Formats: sequence, structure tokens, C-alpha cells
Amino acid sequence: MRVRETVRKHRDSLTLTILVLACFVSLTVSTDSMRMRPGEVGQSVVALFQQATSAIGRFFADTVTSIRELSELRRQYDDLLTQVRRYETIADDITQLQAENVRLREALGFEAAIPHEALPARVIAKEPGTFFAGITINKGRTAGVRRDMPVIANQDGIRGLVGRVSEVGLTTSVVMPVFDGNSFVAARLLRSRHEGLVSGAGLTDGTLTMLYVARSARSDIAVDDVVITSGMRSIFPEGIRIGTVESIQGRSYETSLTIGVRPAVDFSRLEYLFVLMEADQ
Amino acid sequence: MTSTILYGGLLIGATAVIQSTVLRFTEIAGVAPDLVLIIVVFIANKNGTMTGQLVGFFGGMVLDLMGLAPLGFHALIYTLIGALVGLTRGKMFVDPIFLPVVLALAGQVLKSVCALVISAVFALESVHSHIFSTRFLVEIIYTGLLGPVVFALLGMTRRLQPDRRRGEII
Repeated sequence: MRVRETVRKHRDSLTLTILVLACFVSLTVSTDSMRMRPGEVGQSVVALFQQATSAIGRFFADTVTSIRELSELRRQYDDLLTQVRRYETIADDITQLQAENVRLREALGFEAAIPHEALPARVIAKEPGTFFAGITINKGRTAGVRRDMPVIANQDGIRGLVGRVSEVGLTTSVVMPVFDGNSFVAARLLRSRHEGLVSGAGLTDGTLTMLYVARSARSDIAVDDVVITSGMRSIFPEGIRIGTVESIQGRSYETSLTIGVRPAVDFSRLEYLFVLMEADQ
Repeated sequence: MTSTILYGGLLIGATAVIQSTVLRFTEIAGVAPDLVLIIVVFIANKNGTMTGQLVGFFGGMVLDLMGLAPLGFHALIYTLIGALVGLTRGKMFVDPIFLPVVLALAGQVLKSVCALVISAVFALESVHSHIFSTRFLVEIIYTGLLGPVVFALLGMTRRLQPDRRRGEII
């Protein structure tokens, strides 16, 4: 009886303790590098609602804008015709340049680019919370997506690195953007060929930081230099554009430079992404 | 109490799903208000600690399942917020504007403190840097300003408030 009274008296505190303990256990398991995380199971269930809501919202948005799109399509059709004629000329030039590129690569001893299949995926949701920046896409395990696969996007004609697949559900996946604090990418400066490690700075301002670039490289690096993936012992294949140099800092007591990098991808207007399917092998 | 927890959990789940998909236009300069937090604060203030912490726990779990957050991160934060804000039940007169702003801001401050502690314990670097950013300051103000609006909307639903017939009102 006394126990029952005590439990009834401290019901609120006991419930709170149980809930907090459950959260701690879950956090301990989730932050560990276990292969099957509890979140992945639940994510598949919640993702169904996200997909449905996204599809309904898209249906209404598409219906409302369809009339306006007709006139827009006519204008785009005319523009595309003009572009096709221009590209026909460019295609001839590209063929010549490709041949020249192969010759130069052979001369410089570069490896051939890693062939990989790009799986297109649509962004269906972004993180509802405020501390993380996960991007949910509509392709999951059934489409062949696996954890740590690289994800890229084409924006304004540039193929830029978005991040890597962090969690995989049955029909959806969550992508960890390259600016996340837990993201690290082996990188190289395209022009000067110096290597370093690009890490995210979190949600703060979306910029990246390139670390461990030799101090002696200071004179070879300039603002707006392009930073690409180096492919060195990394899940990311070589040659994907990460961003451009924004700032260069080198303190006298440090042996390496700290380079601020502006991402190549505008994360606020991502719609379609590409998961690189074979790059994890 | 059970129905309040059930409806509260469903409301939070629906809010989180809609906000993450079709309600991105609520973002100002990439910053969105924390609507889930306001709902948890409202329910906790009206129903007390037990309901507040349970709604916070289930609501937080829903958020954890939707993105990169480790399972339990938001659940722990919103459980503690629900428990603490629940202590204010019946202790203050909730006017339409001032107190909703204060409660929403207090919820945001509690969220920051909890997130800071969890990020330190579980080494979540990105969380730590976000708390000390101007984006987070904007989020606090934005959420605080939206407090009265969400409180007014939720005030119209009886299901999220104590059932007077069963004597759940203090």
C-alpha cells in the first residue's frame, strides 16, 4: 500500500524519469555507429506521411500554375530551338576538346574518372527541427540507395556536391548536406592541386572550411579558386565541384591554412538531386 | 488526459510533416519558427506536467524520425520543456498576447539550454554552433512573435484542454 501511495504521489516525477531515461538510451544507441539504427525503422513509417503530404501539396501547386506554365512553355520552346542550333556547333568543339583532354590526361598521368550511375531523386522534405539540416529524398533502399552514397546536384550548369546519404528507409533517404558539422570531404584545389579536408560549419551560415592545406601553398591560392573532391581514400569520387575559395587565413603559429569555401550548390533551392550509385564500391 | 495526449501527439506529427514539406514559405531568411515547441508549451500550460511531458516526448520522437537528429534528441528536449512548462498550469492568467510570447520565448530558452547540454554530452558539434548563431536568435524572436497566434488557434480546440466535465480543471 505504501509503495502504491508513493508511486501515486510521485507519478509525474517517475514518468519524467522514465521518459528521460528512454531518451538517453535511444540517444546512446543512435549516436553510436550501429549498422541498424532504431531511427531507420521509424523513418520509413513517418516518410509515408511526408511523401503523401508532399505529393498533395505538389498536386495543388502544379494545378494552379499549369495555365501560366503553358505560355511559359511556348517561350521556352522557342528559346530551346535557338539553343539547340547553338549547341550543335558547340558539340563539334566538344568532341575535339574531349580528344585533347584524353591526350592531356594521359600526358599528366591522371586516372580516368570513376564511372558511376546517377539516380535522380526529388527533395520531398527538409528537417522540421532547427538543429539539423537533413534533406529527405524520395528514393530509398528499394531503389538501391545505401548509406554513405555521394549525392550531387546540377545547378546553373554546374555539378556540385550536396552531401552523402546518412539514413536510408524503404522508400526515402535522408541526405546529410556537406555543410553539416559532421561532414568531412577529401578535397583538392583545382588550379594549384593542393589537397585538404573540407568540413562543414553547421547551419550557422552554410559556408565550408578547408583545413590542412600546407602553409607553403599560400602564394598559389587565390579567392574564387575552385575546390573539388580529390577522391583520396574517400567515399566521394574525384572531380565533383565542392565550391570556391572565399577567404584564406594562415596564422603565423600554424603549419596549415584555413580556407573558407563557398558551396557550389545553393541549398535553399534544391529540387532534384542525384545519388551516385556505384561510387561507394 | 489520454485523449489530450493522443490529439496533441497527432497535431504535433501533422504540424511537423506539413512544415517539413509544404509550409516552407513560413521561413524568413531560411529560418522557420518552431511551431511544435509552441504546441507543446500550450498543452503543458493548460494540462500540467504529466500531459506536457508525454506530449513533448511523443512529439519529439516524431521530429527525431524525420531527419538527421539522433533518436531521442528532440524527445528529451521537448519532454523536459513539457514537464517544466507544465508546472505553470493554473499559476498564471494567460492573456491573449503577452503571456503566450513569454511562454514561447521561455520554451525557446529552455530548448537552447537542453540542446547545449545534450550536444556537449553526445558530442553533436553542429548543434553547438547553431545555438550561438544569429539564425537561432532570429528563430527565437520569430517563434516568440508567433506564440499568440498559435495560442489563439489552439485555444479554439477543446480537445487540447482539460475536460471540465471530468473535473480535470484545477
